[in-house]
Amino acid sequence: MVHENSPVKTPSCSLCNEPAVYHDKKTGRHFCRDHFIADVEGRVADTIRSRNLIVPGDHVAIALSGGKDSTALLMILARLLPSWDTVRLTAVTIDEGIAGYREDTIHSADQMAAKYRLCHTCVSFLELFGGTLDAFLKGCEPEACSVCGILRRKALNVGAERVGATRLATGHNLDDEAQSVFMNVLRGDLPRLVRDSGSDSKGMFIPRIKPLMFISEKEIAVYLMLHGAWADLPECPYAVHALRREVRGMLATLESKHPGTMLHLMESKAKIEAHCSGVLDTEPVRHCRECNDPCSGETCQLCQLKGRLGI
Amino acid sequence: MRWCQQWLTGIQIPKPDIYAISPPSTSTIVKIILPDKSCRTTGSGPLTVEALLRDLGIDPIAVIVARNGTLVTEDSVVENEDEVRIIRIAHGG
Repeated sequence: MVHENSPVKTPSCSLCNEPAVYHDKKTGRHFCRDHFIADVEGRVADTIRSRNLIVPGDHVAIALSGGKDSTALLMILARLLPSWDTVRLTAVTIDEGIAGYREDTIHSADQMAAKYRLCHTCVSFLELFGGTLDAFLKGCEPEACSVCGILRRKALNVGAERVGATRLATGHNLDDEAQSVFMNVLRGDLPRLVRDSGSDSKGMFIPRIKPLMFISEKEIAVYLMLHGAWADLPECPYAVHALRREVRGMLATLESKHPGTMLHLMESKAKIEAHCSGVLDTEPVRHCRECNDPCSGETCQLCQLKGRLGI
Repeated sequence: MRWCQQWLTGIQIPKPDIYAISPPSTSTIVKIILPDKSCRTTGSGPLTVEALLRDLGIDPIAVIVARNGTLVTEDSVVENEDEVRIIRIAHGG
């Protein structure tokens, strides 16, 4: 119920008098449509500049699944692009072969790439590994995310190399990143916790960048909704098996009760990274004896997986 | 609380100057469209979007909410025949 000193029907933007569409609970600020969009795009631009994620002359391959995060990434980079000289964008889509799920998102990716007039390349698991994810996962569905993650990583590298990209941009958002930090802590995996995906393999792979790493999942949803680009797409059917699902629920509850929790996790990771700098990074990069890709052991994760799956 | 019982039965009597709790408005009916597209109504009176979501057992962080077709914040108020659409944020992508 709303009583005395109750909130107004529609709070106003903290920066103007327009109706607010988003409330940042951490700072207490309200944003109208225009100020919200400007805030999100400004923070992405700041992330890119402060971390040198994109430099003049770069050819950025956007990992475009067609889902909300990669769609927002494409839209934001396309809007920021005119302010960067000589930067080029290309979309790369991976078709893992997930029946009843991937068809809709690939269709959405096709439409987005066409709308922004981007070159669009699609790489499928069938083409690269001789089968679909659905086929590989028969009987080992609980391992879906780790299996898919390894195969997908390779597929994205192949796609980015095919188009001649110098950067591979993914749509990982603040929620994803905070979940990863939490999961690595739960697993006791310090090397993975401090590993920077943009610089691992000592530059032997195309560097990966995450321009949305400080934008929350909810902010991305609001951004798309405000641009009329929201699509009610399904979730991956294999997500139910993942540890990430449990971690997501826990973090969402914490973030609701204690706004800023996810950002604080990211800050903790940055501090641990700073303390570990040069300490954990002594392992020499080797080359896989099967495929010659860079790896930390004798055989890379992909070749180990292929051997296990018989592909 | 005799006035209250009489008020509830529709008998017009003078009301005290100060109320501990505002009386419910009988005209307040909020239509809710849930993430699964099913509809329901609530007649609990003016309340914030966040309170409505909590009543429904929905975590505000997992959804976005439109009131009468316009995106609103969780501290906005719904009342008087508003239509509230709750949209679940799909993970991944």
